[in-house]
Amino acid sequence: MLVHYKCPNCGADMGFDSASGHLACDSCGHEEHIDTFDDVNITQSFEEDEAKEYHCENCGAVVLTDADTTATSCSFCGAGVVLADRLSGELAPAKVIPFTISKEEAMQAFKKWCKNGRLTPKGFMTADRVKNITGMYVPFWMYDLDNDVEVKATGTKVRTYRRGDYRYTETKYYRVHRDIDISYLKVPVDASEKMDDELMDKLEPYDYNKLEGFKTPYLAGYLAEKYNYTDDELFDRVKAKIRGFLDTYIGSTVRGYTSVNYEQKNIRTKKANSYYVLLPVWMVYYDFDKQEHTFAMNGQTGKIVGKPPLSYSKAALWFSGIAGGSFVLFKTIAIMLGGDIL
Amino acid sequence: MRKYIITASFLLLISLFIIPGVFAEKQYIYDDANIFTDNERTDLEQRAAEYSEENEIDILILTKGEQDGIDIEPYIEDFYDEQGPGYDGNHGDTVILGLDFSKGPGDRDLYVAGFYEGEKYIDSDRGQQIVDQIIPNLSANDYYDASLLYFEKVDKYMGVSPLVNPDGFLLQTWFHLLVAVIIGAAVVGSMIFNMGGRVTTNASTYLDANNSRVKNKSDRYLRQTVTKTKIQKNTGGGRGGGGGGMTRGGHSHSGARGKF
Repeated sequence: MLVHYKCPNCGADMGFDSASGHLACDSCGHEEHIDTFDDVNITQSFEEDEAKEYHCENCGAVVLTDADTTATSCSFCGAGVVLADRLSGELAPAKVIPFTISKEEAMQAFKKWCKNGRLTPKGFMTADRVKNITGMYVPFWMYDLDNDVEVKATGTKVRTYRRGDYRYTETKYYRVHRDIDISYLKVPVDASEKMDDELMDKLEPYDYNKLEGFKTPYLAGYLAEKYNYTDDELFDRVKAKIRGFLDTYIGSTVRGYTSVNYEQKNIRTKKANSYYVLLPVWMVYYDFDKQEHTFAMNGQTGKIVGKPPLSYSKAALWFSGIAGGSFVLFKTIAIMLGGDIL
Repeated sequence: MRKYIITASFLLLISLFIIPGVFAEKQYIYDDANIFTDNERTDLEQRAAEYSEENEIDILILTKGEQDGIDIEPYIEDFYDEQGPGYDGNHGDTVILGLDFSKGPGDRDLYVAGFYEGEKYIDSDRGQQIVDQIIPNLSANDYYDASLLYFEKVDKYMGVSPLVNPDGFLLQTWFHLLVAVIIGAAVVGSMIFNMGGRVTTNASTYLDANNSRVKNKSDRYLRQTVTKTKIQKNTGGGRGGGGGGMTRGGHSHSGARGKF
């Protein structure tokens, strides 16, 4: 089933506009509110075997998709289409954060970011070889987690004092016991096989105030994918993700000791809720020095992540500048204190 | 007429006291034990005068030969009270090296004392460093070279702020290089590490503070252990100026001693 949005005004293709948050028509400028968009203008076509091949409702060309695609553009006429059958039933996202950064803004922000790269090669900084920039809704699972934590530890308090010719070190041992409830809300874990987990983790945090109920028109004009892993399959990953947070919280409840030695940390993590959400990401593909570099930009906050190429000569320059500068500084201080020049 | 005579003789009396003090050559080497040859003494006097002028402090050497049982430290103190040396006037800035030859080799005492500016710059720690460095020459009966080394060290230490140890690593070039390289590597390393973007979430990003709480807590006292260590008394020139003292005339000084 292919969904395609037609402008009720002029009949041209409509797409999601990140600035207004509405469906907008490129040719006449007409805007439609997503909540009130009339179903009449949504053309849906059912294919016989719901395969990887769809026919564009607009021009009739074949829309090729891979198995995970849920939204794409017709490669022939460019109309944004949504593959609604891959977004229904089990695969229906609960929430979506719409794009707030447009393609042009993303491109500009990326160029600016490249220019600020202090360790990237000069040719890279101009950002003139960006091969492709793609707006993509990446599938995430968000978990509400309740943790029941039981901690047993030994804490010490050390006091030193002087009496006569002796220095006394007094160590008091305590048995520390804590029973803690720790809850986390909407911890995101990316559910797409294609996306690099580390890259996606670094894109956080998103502003959850803009989390909207899912409607297919949000996807018009962007790429979108469906999840490859279920929430149960990714449960271990989210547990690993909050482990550091839990340790920090536990540490904050055991205060006032000189040292704490944890003997037992029983953590029982219970999934209170999980939501399937789509989060906006601009993917930037940049050809440089015969290599493709992939960057990701948070489509809501504009945060850019991804490893740019490293210029060794620039790194050496920075190193010698900083090391040389500090050497001169130390030497100057030393000479002011009366040291020799060499 | 009689008034004239009184005035003239009074002036003469004053001139007898003052004029030699103004015009007479200052003496730096008081070699009571006669350990230097005449040539050495003349040479050392000249060098002492130069170093003293350059550092604006009197740099003296006393040697004691008399076997009267008086220790070298009170000997130097009494000398300072009586003679009142000092670059900036009577009882002024002075550094004194005292060598006691009243005992046999290996049991002889040496003492380095600093007065006023000398106490500041040649404090007990630095005094100890000088003592330790000249002992090998003294033990080899090489008193002339020991004296030269003493002059050089005082000359060097007088130029270094009392805040730092002049022979310590803080003023060494290799130390500056090392720290500079470490800083450079740390800064560039963190720049490279953060090139790909940083994690900006923390423990409170997703925390539901309303539903997170400590349900139960206990901190039960188990036992205690006490260990005691004897506090080492600083003897001689421990850091912080353990040596030194006060002359009977009320002049405070730093000091460090050794045997040769």
